[in-house]
Amino acid sequence: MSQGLVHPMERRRAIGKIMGLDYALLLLISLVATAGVAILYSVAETGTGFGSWHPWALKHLVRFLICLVLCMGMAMVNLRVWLSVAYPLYGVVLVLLVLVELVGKTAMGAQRWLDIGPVQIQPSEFMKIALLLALARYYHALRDEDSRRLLAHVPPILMTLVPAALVAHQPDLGTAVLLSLTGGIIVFLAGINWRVVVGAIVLFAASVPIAFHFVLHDYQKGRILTFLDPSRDPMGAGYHIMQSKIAMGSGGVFGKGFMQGTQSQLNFLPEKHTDFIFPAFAEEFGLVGGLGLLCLYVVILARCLGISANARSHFGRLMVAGLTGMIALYILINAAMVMGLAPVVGVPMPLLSYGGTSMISIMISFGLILSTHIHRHAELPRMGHG
Amino acid sequence: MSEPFAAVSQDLDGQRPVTVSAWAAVGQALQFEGERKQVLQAARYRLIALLSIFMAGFFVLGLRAVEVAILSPHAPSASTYAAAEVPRRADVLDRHGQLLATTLTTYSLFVDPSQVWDPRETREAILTVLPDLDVAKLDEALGGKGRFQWVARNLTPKQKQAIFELGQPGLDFKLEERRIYPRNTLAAHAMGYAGVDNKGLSGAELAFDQEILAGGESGQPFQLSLDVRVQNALDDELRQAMDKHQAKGAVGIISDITTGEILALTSLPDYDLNDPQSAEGAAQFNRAARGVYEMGSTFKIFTVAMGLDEGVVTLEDSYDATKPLKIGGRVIHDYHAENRQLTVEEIFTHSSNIGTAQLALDAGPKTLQKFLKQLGLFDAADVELVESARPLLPKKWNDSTAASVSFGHAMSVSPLALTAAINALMNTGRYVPLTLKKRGAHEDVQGRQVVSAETSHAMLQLMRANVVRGSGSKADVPGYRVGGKTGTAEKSGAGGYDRDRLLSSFAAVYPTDAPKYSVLVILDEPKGLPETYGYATGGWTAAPVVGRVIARTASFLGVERRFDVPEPAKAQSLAQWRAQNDAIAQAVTGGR
Repeated sequence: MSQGLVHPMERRRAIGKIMGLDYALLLLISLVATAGVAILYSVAETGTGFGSWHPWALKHLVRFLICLVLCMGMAMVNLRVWLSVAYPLYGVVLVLLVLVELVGKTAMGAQRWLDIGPVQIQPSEFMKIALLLALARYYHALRDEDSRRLLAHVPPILMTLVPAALVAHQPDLGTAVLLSLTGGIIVFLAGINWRVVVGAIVLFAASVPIAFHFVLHDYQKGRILTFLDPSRDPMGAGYHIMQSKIAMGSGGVFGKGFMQGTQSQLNFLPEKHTDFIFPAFAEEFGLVGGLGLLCLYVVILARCLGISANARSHFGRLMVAGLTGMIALYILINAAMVMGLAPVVGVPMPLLSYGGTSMISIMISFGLILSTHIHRHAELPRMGHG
Repeated sequence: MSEPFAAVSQDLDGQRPVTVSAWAAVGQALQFEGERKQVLQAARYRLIALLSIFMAGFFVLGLRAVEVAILSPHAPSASTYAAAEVPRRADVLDRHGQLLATTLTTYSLFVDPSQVWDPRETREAILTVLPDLDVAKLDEALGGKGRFQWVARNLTPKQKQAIFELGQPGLDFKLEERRIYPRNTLAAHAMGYAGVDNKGLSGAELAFDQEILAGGESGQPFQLSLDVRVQNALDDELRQAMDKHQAKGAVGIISDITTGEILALTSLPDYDLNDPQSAEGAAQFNRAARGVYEMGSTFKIFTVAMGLDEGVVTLEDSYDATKPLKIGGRVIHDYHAENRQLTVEEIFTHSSNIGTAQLALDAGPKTLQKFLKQLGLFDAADVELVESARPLLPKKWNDSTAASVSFGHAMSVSPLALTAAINALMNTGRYVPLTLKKRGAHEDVQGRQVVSAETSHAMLQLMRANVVRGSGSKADVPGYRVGGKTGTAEKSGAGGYDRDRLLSSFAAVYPTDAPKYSVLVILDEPKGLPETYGYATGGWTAAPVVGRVIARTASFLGVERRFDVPEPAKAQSLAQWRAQNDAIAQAVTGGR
């Protein structure tokens, strides 16, 4: 590690890079993923009872291990490479999003998937990362005096809104909101005028009723109404939420114990292996387990923001802050949703929820964060400005 | 405010190992001084603002987790759902304990439309499990108003589990009781059925709704008077006869004349009680209770009994049947005209309309009216069935109507009412209401005396004589002493009575020396066959059915086959008959 401080990043040997990995962060990530494997094992039904590697736990583990290798591999790649691919990647994913609009496969009532041979991909998931890379790239190239002008922030805002609109049209409101928020975080951190921020918030608040009436689909309105209006639902929230809270409530302070979560095992809890995995976890490991898991996430996020603060390049700093913000939003929205504090939108719990796309996109994010950590001292050329 | 981050990073200079948290980095940054200090601090504030928002978010989530874990509602136990009160119906048994109806627990699916988020997705999901559902109705339920719409009733446990695993919001189940009729069509109209809401809708299920529900509560099965074995034979024979004669319908009633208990009741066409919706209009119609018909010559039983009981005639009297009878501007003919003087017995066995009408005229319309009223023929049959229909009566009672009614026209009664009235005349003159409920072993059956025992005895003689040497010979079963009367009514249609559309019947009682059971068989519009020489009358179509049913069931019912009972040479008085019987008894017991 010390030699890395003396010599330029480019001359580092591979072995040095491997030594320079943030192993504490990797350990924390692995802990969360292991919790995911355990709970997926517990809620899987076998012919005779519960607790099975099939159909979820083993796949989750294998996916995580493969993605872990991918993530460490990405960490080795110089930040300069990420900087150079940022715009092309954004362009490709944007094209894919348009393709989904044209030829996408409809699953669960929404058009989100592209069928490429044996692989189905969900471009909207990758757009979040591509957008962050592209925005970081944009501000990296911006000169100080340029960033003072309000007009300089117009391209990033458009770069955010175009894919967000495409995703919202699929329709996938959750991802669209996430895209807008993560894009907004970067624009905010990059120094846009406070007055604009306040103005945007006011504008957003004002547009909510309009959007509600003219833009949202009936089912989206229904979700929000169910969330907002208790008289639509005297039990406090929708069926998912009710079952979710019952599962968490029945876990109590210390939980029912591993493999003892009857609510989730007996299928009372819907989507228990994907979006609603947190209540399943809380049922078996209780309030202590649930809070412990949240603390683990907080430590991971804090560590990532530390990496952001310590990065020398503007690109790395903004990218890591954006990725961290995105992961934080995932966790916050998912947890708020399963505890009845937010309407139900399809947002998975990072590393815990079963699902290939989610796992890949989260681990790519960590790969980029780790890469920034290893190459934190790299000075990157400000392209277009010499 | 340009590039605040760039400024920070330059100041940080990267000389420190990255173990700092964001907070430490932020704190460090705040100590910097210089011309860009303000910019720097502003940037750090932004990061702090972002961090603060996230941390506040996590703090709120933590609090919420505590609230949910400690204060949330607890898991509903299975009994919460089962507690939804569903009335349970008792099993229904026949008189010997054979199962006629029972109840199984099933699951019914309902939807709370306000909880459905995507009706289209929910619909597709439901259809994967229940592909036969009506899509339009399903859409209506999913988009319906209120908080409760039925989707599908009485699912199997497997279907229920499959729906459950869809994990769709707004769907829930109610435990329901499903009524099962293991014998399908057997006694369909007597048994009736209960709907999905467990309310009796027809037959015994409706008639005894309260008792059956009460029995369900106490676990006590409900016993009907029906006898499955007898019912089977009756159903089977009627079905065959209906097919054979291409009849529109058929009715059969077998009852115990001493207790009024109905042992078998059939109305054809019928339907599977487990699928009442499949019943078409005619199949849903209980002809035995709800149908009222001009019965024809079986009514001569009443006219002759009235004549004997009122002292208008004796068995020795005779009437002039040499020529058609003119009355009230119309002419009454005999079907098989004898064109001679006929005794009362001959009037009965030759089924003479002319003779019967003269008897009725001798008695007078008032007397006939009063007599029929006594026999319950002016009211709906006194039986528990709600379907039991009121008769259609003539508006005016004059000589002309009396003549018509005397041989079973101008008034329509239900087969059950006919059975009850005939039963009274055969049961030593005591009218006993019919019942579908099994009577207790020692139940004292209160009857109402309507004619004398003497008249009743004479009528039994006439009934037997009619089978031995009259129009009812096809109903005879050797050894069972069957007595009976044929009935063949031309059905009235537009423009008067129609010779080709007959209601052919046979009313029987047996054994005539110790009367116990009555059998009524009616065929609606039977067609004549070569083997019946083209005749479709009661004697040719209904009487043989009665004979076969008695042959098949008398042994179950404990009627002994006897060949030592002398057939009456002619109808005897009760005194004569008793003397003769005593003589036989003495001979058999060796004069002790």
